[in-house]
Amino acid sequence: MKVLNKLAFKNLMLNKKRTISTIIGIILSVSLICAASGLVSSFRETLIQNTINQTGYYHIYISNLQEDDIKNLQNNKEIKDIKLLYDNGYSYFNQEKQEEDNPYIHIYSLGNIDLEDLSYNLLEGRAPKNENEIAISQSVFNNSNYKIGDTIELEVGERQSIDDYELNNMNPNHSSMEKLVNTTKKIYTIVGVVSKYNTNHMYYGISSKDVEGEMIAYCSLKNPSEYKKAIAELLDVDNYSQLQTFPEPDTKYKDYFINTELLRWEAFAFSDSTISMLYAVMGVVLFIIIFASVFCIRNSFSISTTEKIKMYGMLASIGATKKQIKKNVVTEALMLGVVGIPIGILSGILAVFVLIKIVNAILGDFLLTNINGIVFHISIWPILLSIILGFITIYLSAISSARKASKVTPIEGIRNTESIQIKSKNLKTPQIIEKIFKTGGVLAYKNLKRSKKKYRTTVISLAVSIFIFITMNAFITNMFGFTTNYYTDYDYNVTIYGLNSNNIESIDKILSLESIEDYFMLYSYRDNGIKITDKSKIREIPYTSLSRNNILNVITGQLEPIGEEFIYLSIQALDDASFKKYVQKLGLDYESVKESGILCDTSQYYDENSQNSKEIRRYTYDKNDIIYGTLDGEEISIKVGGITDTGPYGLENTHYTDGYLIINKDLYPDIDLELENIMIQSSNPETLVNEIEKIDNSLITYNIDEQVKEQKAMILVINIFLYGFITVITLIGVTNIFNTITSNMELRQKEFAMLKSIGMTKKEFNRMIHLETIFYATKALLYGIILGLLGTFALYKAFAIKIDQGVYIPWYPMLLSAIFVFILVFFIMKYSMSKINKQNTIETIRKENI
Amino acid sequence: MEILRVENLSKVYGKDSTKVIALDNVSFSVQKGEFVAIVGASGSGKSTLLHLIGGVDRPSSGNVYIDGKDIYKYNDDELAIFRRRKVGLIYQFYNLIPILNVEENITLPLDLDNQNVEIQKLNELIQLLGLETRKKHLPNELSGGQQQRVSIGRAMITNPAIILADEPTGNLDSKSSYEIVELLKKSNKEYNQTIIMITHNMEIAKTADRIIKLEDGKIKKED
Repeated sequence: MKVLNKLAFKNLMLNKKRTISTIIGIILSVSLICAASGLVSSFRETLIQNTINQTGYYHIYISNLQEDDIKNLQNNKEIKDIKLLYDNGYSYFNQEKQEEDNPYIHIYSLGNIDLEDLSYNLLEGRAPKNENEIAISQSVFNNSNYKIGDTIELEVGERQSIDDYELNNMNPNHSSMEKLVNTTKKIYTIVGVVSKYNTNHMYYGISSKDVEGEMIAYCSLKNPSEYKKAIAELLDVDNYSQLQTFPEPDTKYKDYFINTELLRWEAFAFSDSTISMLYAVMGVVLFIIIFASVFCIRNSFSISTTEKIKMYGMLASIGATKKQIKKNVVTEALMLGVVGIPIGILSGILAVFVLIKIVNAILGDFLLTNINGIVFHISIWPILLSIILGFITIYLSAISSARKASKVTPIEGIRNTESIQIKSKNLKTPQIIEKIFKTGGVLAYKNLKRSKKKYRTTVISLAVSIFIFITMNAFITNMFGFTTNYYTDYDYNVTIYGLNSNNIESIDKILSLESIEDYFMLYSYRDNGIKITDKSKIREIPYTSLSRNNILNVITGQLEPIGEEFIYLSIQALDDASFKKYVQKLGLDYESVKESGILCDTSQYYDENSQNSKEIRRYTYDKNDIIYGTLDGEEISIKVGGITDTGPYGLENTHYTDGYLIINKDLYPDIDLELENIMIQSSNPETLVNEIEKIDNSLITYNIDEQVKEQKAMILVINIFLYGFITVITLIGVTNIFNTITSNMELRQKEFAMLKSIGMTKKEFNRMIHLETIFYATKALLYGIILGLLGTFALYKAFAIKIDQGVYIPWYPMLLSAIFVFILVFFIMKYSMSKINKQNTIETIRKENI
Repeated sequence: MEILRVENLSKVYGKDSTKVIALDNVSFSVQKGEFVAIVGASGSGKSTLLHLIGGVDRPSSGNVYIDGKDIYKYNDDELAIFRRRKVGLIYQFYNLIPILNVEENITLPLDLDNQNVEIQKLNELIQLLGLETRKKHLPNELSGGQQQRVSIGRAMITNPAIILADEPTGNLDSKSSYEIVELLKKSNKEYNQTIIMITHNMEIAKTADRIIKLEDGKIKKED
């Protein structure tokens, strides 16, 4: 037995080139698995860290707690730790404008924690150390005269409603319907200004160690993946999903908030359809990696086995059993694995490390708002996965060669000839090949027919690489489409909502601010819209219905429908300049459509049968149709200038069930339109938001700049990784094809030498080789493209579990692969041919060990 | 004692128009310790006969009994084990494993059988073969004659019932041929090793105890 193992080792040493290229194949494939899983692990960790930086590390917080409640929570075995914040109460605070609707300042105190534990960012100054110090929120700072170092006096107490007014703690403003009771005078020195992700327009101050008042407990779970059970128990409901139904069930604690964002990443708390989609996609990707690797490595083994047929035959003749020979082949494979797998894992980890460093260097700041770049994180899972899958890959690759080797009869080893196992009638060449391609062609054709197996391996190698290329492209397009659905290109970075008659005067002041480069105003018809009664223009959508007026039947006392069914088509408008930009973006000619309306009527509905969301157009109007209806009782007709599912500025991803029509405000002065939103392109969005708040704090502003940058960066990064992935897989394929073609050429050295010795000219010889190339490259392309289309369809189905975007045909990748295949195969053949041509004809013929 | 009996052995290749009868109902027997030479023209069926005796190929009909056992009743695995213990094969083209040295090539059958190598016996054999100074050399570092001697060593190491040699001197010059034949004769006389040798060289055939002549797949006459 020892000698057989020694034999395995020596064989590997003998054919160093083949051994090394097989090991390279193994390394590439293992590192791909390791890198892919390592990246997933890192991304997940990054998203977790990002969320923690936004919200602090907790899975659920519960407010309005007393001492006993806290003790209960502390005894709860599922809870890992509790961060305490004390709710000291509310107070009026110093403002320049003393008006009715003004916010309270909500005072909290840090319990056993620091500001950073709940992800409060210190913008200026320092954290409060005791109950005489306070750090105020940015909004408080912006809307008062307070400065760091000031000492302020506050009457802190509880809010209480007057009469039956329903107290809404979510409303930060005080009104005449409520008052402050049980106030205590507190004196604070302002030591800092803080903010927290997503807390614009929150007016609060944070002190320290003031343990009066109710408590808020931020709890983190010991086992985040068991969150459903833990939280259900905590809140005393039967199961977690009851919490998501309406109306809400009775819970042990009434005021709670579950940090679903963190759970999403830590515990994979996605919706079921998202999880299915993720698994399906991951499954397809892993399958592709393993398929490509097994195929290529198997091919290497197959080639090396073929080279050793004589040896296997000889071993059989002196009495090696089939099992012994199989074991010998598998041992060779495992030896390669022992070298290749660890190197593969190390290079995979290194690749992840380097990739992350590069991505962070280029895009770090833009990546995510609350973290400086991707975190490098390799847990034990990617490594284990790589080892297991690596060995499985190698074993699967070796097993068929092992079987083939064990079937070699002693006779094959003894005799020097290779048996041609094909009948002569199968070698018949169609006349046409002889006519067009002459002798070279005939030989090429017969060659392909006779060594079907060898040629088949080459064809399949090529086909597999093509398949992978095309499918990966489909993957990217699906991912892209997926992300662009959510993350569209915006022309602006700050939005202002909440415009009404009260704050409209501030608009002029705001629009004259320096950092504003461009802006778009969105108007809306405040009433229902155009009333349309022509049912032929309206499509039926599940779960929606048309409207009808009702009249009270005095006899029966019931409401009865009267008149025709109708629908309201909402009207939105842009000012002339914005309208022009919008229609041009849609590819329409401004002059011809400026008096028409643009129809946005794509509606989404949930289809029970396919458990999927589907899109459908609400109306049947075509471009240039005229919409007839009534607006506020008066007849109106507007031509449809264009139909789109991309809304204008401010409504990009908005779909009304009954659609909306966009018109040019300046050309319809009679329609009563009110300004609703303003979209601003600013050179400094952060400052702009603060300035706007200073001018009028009733306006709601959003800085979408960060979000957009983040999303664009995300797409770019995804692109980098996916193309990197394709490159590596293609490399595996190319190594494999190189192996196959060169060995094919080598095995036929004797033949070629013989052909030359009987007088085949170089030209004819070259032609023969070229024709072989064309024959099997074409066949490979055909298989590869068909497989690629199948793979594309499979991916589409996987993605469509969550979101249906329609199949796309990968024309471009198919064309690219065709070109690539021909060039690659041609060059490899040329390379082998040049090596063969250099050899001495006679010596080759006389050589025995071929 | 009869060590080999061949009964009505036939081997046919191909069908109908391409039918080739390599062996046609051949029967004979060999006693232990005999040195038999099989001669005949090219294509007369000599190699086929040898392969069938060695269990390396399966007959179309007939039986081969070695040491009283019908070897074609064995399945593939049993046949393999039979081959490594009971038969030693020597070929014209040496068929050594190029990456194993002399010693390793010789002990290969024992290793396959998981048997321990008796160092004493091995050294004796290597001495008999005249290869003491070449023990650790690889085949490509040996002359043709030396390589053939390694083959003989490999055939002999398991003390097989029969040694089958297919044109063992076919690839050697006359001096080496002579040495090889002498070696075979020596092992035959000293170890009572039964040897069946194919040769087309009548001079060499005459050194055997007995000559079987094959023509067109049939035994022509026996001496």
